Amino acid sequence: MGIIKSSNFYDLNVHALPDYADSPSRMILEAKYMGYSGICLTSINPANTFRGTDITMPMPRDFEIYTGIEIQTDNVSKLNKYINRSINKVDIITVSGGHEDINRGAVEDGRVDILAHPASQGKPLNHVLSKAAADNGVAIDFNIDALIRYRGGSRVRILSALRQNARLARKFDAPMVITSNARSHYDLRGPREMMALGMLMGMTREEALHALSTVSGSIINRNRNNNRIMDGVEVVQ
Amino acid sequence: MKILPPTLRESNRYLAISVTSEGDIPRRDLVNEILFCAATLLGDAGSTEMGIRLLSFEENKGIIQCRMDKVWETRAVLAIVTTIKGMRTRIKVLGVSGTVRGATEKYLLTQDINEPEPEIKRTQTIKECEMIIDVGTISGEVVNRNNNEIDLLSEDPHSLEILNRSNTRYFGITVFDIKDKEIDV
Repeated sequence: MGIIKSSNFYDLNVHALPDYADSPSRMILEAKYMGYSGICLTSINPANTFRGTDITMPMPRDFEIYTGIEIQTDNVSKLNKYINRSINKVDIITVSGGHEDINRGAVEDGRVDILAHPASQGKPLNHVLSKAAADNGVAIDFNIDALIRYRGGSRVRILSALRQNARLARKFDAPMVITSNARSHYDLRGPREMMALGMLMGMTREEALHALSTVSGSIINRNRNNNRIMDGVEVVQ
Repeated sequence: MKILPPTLRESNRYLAISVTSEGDIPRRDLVNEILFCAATLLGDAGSTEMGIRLLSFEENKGIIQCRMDKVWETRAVLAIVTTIKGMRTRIKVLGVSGTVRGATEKYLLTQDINEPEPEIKRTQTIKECEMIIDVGTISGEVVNRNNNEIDLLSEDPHSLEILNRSNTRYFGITVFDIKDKEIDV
């Protein structure tokens, strides 16, 4: 238990006003209460533009806020355009997956950080996409809202697809993250609960722990590091 | 009749929980929902193996008993609970202990260190408030208030659309978001 207690946890896909019903400061308070060290407030809207709301509260101690955008599109060529437009505005770029073409477009683009809910249509990623995700450093998202929002047959389909994703991600060593995809503070869960749900999705306990702490942390470090030019190229001095 | 000797008893763990909800949750509904979630997630066989029991539940805090080796599964079941009688609900596990007394003393009686300290007393009596977001304002009636956190009920069409999308009844905001909070005392 010692290693869990000493880890920093991050939830990299949390939605707030004006897209969903909770204000950023409420989400921050709730996430801090849950035991996170940082959350990413992700804009999600049909125009795919980043809409940040000013946060007028005293920041809690040891807590970081990141900005992000979740790109929703049904067209791979537009995906490229949207990524170009928001690459320098936000910390974390997430692509809303589900459709096979979009999943493919996202994992083949190294600028994308997270492929969110890739199994939302019940189809797992195949070996080609998992390998591409590993090569380009695109993290595959295991969204716990699939488990808590759906019931019955649709949950079974998504869960079995997520299990397949976990199996292939382990095989090809693709990064895995667990996010809440929260639409209100009632969707947030504590880090250990997220790990427990991750274990239901076919991860081992260690993988679930890393998916919430070290993998998420390395995505943030990678994007917050100003010396980095591109994959493998970094200004050392 | 002799009681079962301690060596032959099942060893248990006790989870201290805190329940956040849009309204008041009766104990019976909470038990039913937890057991229902256990049955849908792991099946009847799986949920009997876990041995979930709600031992006490007062003022939105309680203690849940489960088998020693099923703590993670129990956490997953508690995380699955989303709605009780149509009200959005969230269960947070405060901690796990080997005895009821340990769970009570360590997690229920002490103030959670992560809980934000109550700061602003001035806006204690506000009934209605307004928040500015970049696409307009949200105004409405204050329903619940817990320290800095406010649940806001708004009924104009644009707000209802957002609430529908998020599947909640109230906007969750904080006192820091309110416009003119000094005037509204």
